[in-house]
Amino acid sequence: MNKTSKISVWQLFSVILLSRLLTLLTYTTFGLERMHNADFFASVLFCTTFVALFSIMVFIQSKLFPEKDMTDIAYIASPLLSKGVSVCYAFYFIFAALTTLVRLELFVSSIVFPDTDSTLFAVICIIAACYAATLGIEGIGRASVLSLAIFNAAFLFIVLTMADKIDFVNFSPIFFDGITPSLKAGLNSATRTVEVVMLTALLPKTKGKPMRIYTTWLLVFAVYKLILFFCTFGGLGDYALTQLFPVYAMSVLSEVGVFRRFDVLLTGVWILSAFIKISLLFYLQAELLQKSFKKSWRTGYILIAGALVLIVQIGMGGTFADYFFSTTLLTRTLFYAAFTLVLPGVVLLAAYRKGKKRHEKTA
Amino acid sequence: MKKPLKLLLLPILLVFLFSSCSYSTHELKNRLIIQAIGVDTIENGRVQVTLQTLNTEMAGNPNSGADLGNVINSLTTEGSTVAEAISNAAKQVGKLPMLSQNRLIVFGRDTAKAGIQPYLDYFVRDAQNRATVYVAVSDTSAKDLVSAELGESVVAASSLEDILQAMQFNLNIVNQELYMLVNQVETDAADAYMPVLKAEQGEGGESKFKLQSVAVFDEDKMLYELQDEGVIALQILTNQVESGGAFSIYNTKYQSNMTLQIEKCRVRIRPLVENDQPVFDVRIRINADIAENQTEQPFSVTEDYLNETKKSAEAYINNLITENTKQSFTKFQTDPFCLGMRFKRKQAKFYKTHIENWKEMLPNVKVRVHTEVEIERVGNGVENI
Repeated sequence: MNKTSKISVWQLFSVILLSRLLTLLTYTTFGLERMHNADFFASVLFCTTFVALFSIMVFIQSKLFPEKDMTDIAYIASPLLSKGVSVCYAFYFIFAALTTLVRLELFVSSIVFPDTDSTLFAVICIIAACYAATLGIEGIGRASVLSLAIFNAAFLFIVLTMADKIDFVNFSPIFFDGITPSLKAGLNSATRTVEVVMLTALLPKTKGKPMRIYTTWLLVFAVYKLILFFCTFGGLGDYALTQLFPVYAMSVLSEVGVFRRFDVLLTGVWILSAFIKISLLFYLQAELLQKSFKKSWRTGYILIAGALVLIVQIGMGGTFADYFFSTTLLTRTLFYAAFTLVLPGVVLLAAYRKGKKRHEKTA
Repeated sequence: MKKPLKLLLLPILLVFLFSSCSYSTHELKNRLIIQAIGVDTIENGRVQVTLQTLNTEMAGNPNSGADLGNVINSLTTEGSTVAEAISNAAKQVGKLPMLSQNRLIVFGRDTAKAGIQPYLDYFVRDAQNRATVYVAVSDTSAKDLVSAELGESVVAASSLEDILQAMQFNLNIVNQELYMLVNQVETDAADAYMPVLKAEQGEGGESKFKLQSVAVFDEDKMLYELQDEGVIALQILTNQVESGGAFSIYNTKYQSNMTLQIEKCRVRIRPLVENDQPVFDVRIRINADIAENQTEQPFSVTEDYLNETKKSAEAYINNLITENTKQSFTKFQTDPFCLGMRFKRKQAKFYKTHIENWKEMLPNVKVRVHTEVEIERVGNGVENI
C-alpha cells in the first residue's frame, strides 16, 4: 500500500527476543496452579511446540504474501475487511502494551519503589515509549540490538556470579504429578507470546529471510528459558515459586567478592526492555491504523494509544491486573488463538480466494 | 514529532524525575535501617519483635566528636503479626523501617519450639526482605540476642553474621539462609535446621556471642540440637565443606592425637532402593593436610604412619556419618541432612508410593558410608628435629 522503512533480520531477531524475554523475566506464578519445579523444564519444550503451532499462519503469510502485512492482505479481499483487521490488531497491540505496563508497574511498585506511588513511573515510561515509537521501526530496531547486547552482558554476569549457589538437591523430580502440569504451563507460556502476532505486521518491514531468523529465535528463546529456569530453581529451589517474580529473586543470589545486590542490573535491563517493547507495540498499532485510516495521524495514533494505556493503568490498573491474572487458561488460549490462528486464517483464506478469482477472470 | 514538542519533552521528564525526591520520609537519614530482627511469641498469640537498627547519625559522622550514642540501637515492639509489630516501630521512632539491609532474622527458643511457620510468611511475602538473609535461633529469647551490644562502635548483627560466615573454614559451624529454611520447612522430604546463637555477658558488661549448637526441626517445630560431631556430619552430607575446615583424630597404633585440615571434600550420595527399603550410598573423598601431630616421642613421618592416619581418618568420618544419621533417623525420625530430597528426585516412583509414611520409614533407612582420605601435605614438625 505504501513504501516503508525496513529493518534487518538481526534487528527483527533482537526486537522480538527482547520483547519475549521481558515477558519471561516478569513471569509470575501468581494465579497459576502449583507445580514441581523440574516440570518447568519440560514446559519449555511444550511451549516451543505450541508457539510453533500458533505460528502456522505466519509461515503461510510469509509464503503466500511475503511483502504484505495482514492489513495489506485483507485489502486484497475487501477494503472494509482491511479496516476491520487494522482495528482488531491495533486493539491487540494496545492490549499487549497495557499488559506489559501492568506487569512492569507491579514489579516497580513491589520491588523497586515499594513505599512510593508508581504512577509517576508509568507516566514517564509511556511518554518515553510514545516518543520512541514516533522515531519509527529503524530507531526501535537499532535500540533493540544495543539493548540486547546490554541484556546479554547483564544476564551472563548474573548467571556466572550465582553459579556456585546452584545445588541439584533443589530440583524436584520431573513429572512427579504427571505430564499435565507441564503441558498447561507450556500452553500458558505460549499464550503470552505476543511476538507471533507482532510478526504478522513486522514481516514486510524486514529485509532478507525473516522466517529463518524466526526459527532461530524460537530455539534461542528456548535455550534462554532453560538456562534461566536452571539457575532459578537450582539456586532457590521451591522458594522461587513463593516469590512474585521468581527470576528477580534468583538474581538476588548473585554476588562476587564484596560486591552484592546485582539484582539492580536486572532491574535496569528489565525497564529498558519494557520501554522497547511498549514502543514497538505503539508503533505497530499506529502503522496498521494509518494504512486503513488517515495517514497523517500516525503520531496521533501513537499518542492516543499512549493516553489510553495510561488512563486504563492509572484509572483501573488494579482491576485490569486482577482480570489479567485471574483469567483461566482456556480464556487466554481462546483469546490468543483468535489473533494468531482465526483472524489471520480468515484473512488469508479470503485474500487467497479473491486472488484466485481475479486470476481466473484475467485468464 | 514536532520540534517544539521534542524540546518540551526533556524538561517535563526532568521535572518528573526530580520530583521523586520529594518524599522526605524516604531519605536515608530518616529511615530506620534494620540490621537484625528478633521474633518472640508472647501471651495471647501476639508477637514481640526486637529490631537492631543503625544509628544513622553516628554511622554517618563517626568522628564528629559529639555524643551521638552507639552505632546501633535496639527497640522492641508488639503486634498481632510480625508486619504489624515492625510497622509499630514508627510509634517509638517516627521513621519508616527499611528491611533491605537486614542481616539476620532470629527466633527465640520458645518460639522455635512452638513453631516458626506463622512468622515466615512476612519474610517471604515482603519483597524488601532478601532471600539470602541469615536465620538463627537464640539460645534464650530473640530479644536477648538482638538487643545485645558489643560496644558503642560495633554493629552487633555484623559480628553475628561473621560467626555464621565462618562456616567456610570451620566444620563446627553451620549457617542457614532464609530461602533454604523455607525450602526445608515446606518440603515433606527433609527437615529444617538453624544455628543456635547465644549472647553471653562478658567482663565490663559488654556481650559476646557464640554459636551454641544447631537446632533441628520437625516440620516447623524445634525438636533437638546437634552438637559438634553432628554439625560436622551435617556439613559433609549437605555438601557444604569448603577448604580450611579441620577435624581431629586419634592414631591408635602410634598413640598420637592429630588434626587434619581439609583441602578439598567431595561427597557423592546415591539414593537406592534395596529390599523395598531406602538406602543411601555415600562416598566421601577428602584431601587433607596434617595440621598438627602430637606425638609422645619424636619420629619421622613414615609410609606406615601415613597409612595408619588415613585409616583412622576414614574410620572417624565413616563412624561420624553413620552414628549421626542413625541417631537422627531412629531417635527423632528427622532428616536434617536433606537425604530425603535427593531420594525424592532420584527414586521418585518409590518415594511417591511412600510419601505418606516417609517419616516412619526413616528408622529403617540404611546409610552406607565409604570414605577415602588422601593426605596431601605432611608439613614439618617436631618429629623431624
